[in-house]
Amino acid sequence: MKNESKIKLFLVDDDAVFLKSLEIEFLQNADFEIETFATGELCMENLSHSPDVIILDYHLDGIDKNAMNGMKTLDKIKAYNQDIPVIMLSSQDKIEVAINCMHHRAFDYVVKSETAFMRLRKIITTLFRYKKMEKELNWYMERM
Amino acid sequence: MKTILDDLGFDRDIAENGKIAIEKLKIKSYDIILMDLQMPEMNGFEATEYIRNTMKSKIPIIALTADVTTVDLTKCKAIGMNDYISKPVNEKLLYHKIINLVRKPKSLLVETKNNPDNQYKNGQDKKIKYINLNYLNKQTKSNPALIMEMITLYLKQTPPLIDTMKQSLQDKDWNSLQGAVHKMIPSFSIMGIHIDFENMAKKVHEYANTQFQTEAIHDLVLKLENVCMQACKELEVEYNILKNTNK
Repeated sequence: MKNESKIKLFLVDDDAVFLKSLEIEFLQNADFEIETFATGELCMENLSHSPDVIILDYHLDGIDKNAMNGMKTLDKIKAYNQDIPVIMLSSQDKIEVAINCMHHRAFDYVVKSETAFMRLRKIITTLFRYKKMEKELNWYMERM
Repeated sequence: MKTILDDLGFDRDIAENGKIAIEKLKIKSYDIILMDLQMPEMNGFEATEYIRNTMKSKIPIIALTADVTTVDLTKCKAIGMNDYISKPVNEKLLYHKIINLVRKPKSLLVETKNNPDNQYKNGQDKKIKYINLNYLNKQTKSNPALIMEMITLYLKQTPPLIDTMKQSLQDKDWNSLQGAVHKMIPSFSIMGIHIDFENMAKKVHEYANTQFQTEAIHDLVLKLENVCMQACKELEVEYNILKNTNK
């Protein structure tokens, strides 16, 4: 378990205002190591820094039409290492979008709002509890 | 309930019934009351009546009801409650209701300060403040450097988005319009711009998607432009205040 070192978080969003706001929330209220990226391409280039969780915007190509969109980035991250959990973010609360994200192996889906940070923090807590249980289970299975 | 308020970052005191609430209200000042209707000793209606009529207090009160259908909402309003929310409480909704009620008197204050003569007019040309830094203050724990950073980002990001929005509307480039509006949506609540305008942006987003009601879109885009430009101006002022007070 990563008890001694901080959890490393990647935040990826082309909306600079929301990205900063989220970064501030995480820095003020939780103890994470954070790297932020404005594009999916930049996120991919830095995957070697081995993030523990990636929080990824669904769109990313809203303004720059040539930018890689969120789903493509998600697929690429999963192709690089399918064990990195990715939480998708979007200002849309369409259920189709959420389902689509889940089909592409996103860990969860959060709608951008004032309470997004709280939900993200909850999801991350659950995520690590789950990982810990999985690890413990494996430990016991090996000894059975 | 306690935990929801804590999660939302509000400071709160708990009173087990109406009587205790009134006692607390007498010794300490509060911004808002969440009032359960069914309480022992003194229920929510009686407590509200006392606060409004005997204490002559205008403090915002939100009624907490177990079930919307069984409660007489007109009675809540008649007795002077400002709003209601039903249990189980949706935290997002509660947050919006609290913020809206708490910040209302402040913007009214600004209005009357700016136009002392227009106090009694109900005209639309009143100077309303669009932005509100409560959320940013709370989020950054009132760190001026962080607030300034957020304002700078908003000022840098928003005008080009408005331009894109207008241009794409002219070109009938619905995808691009959708993209621009989409990116604007989260910033409304961050800068404390009223939810009505956020909903306006969401409508544009929807219309751009369905390409339906294209006439209404023009009007909405104009309104959004106006709101955002106004917000930018106000933010510049706030930025300079912050800069000058934190030299």
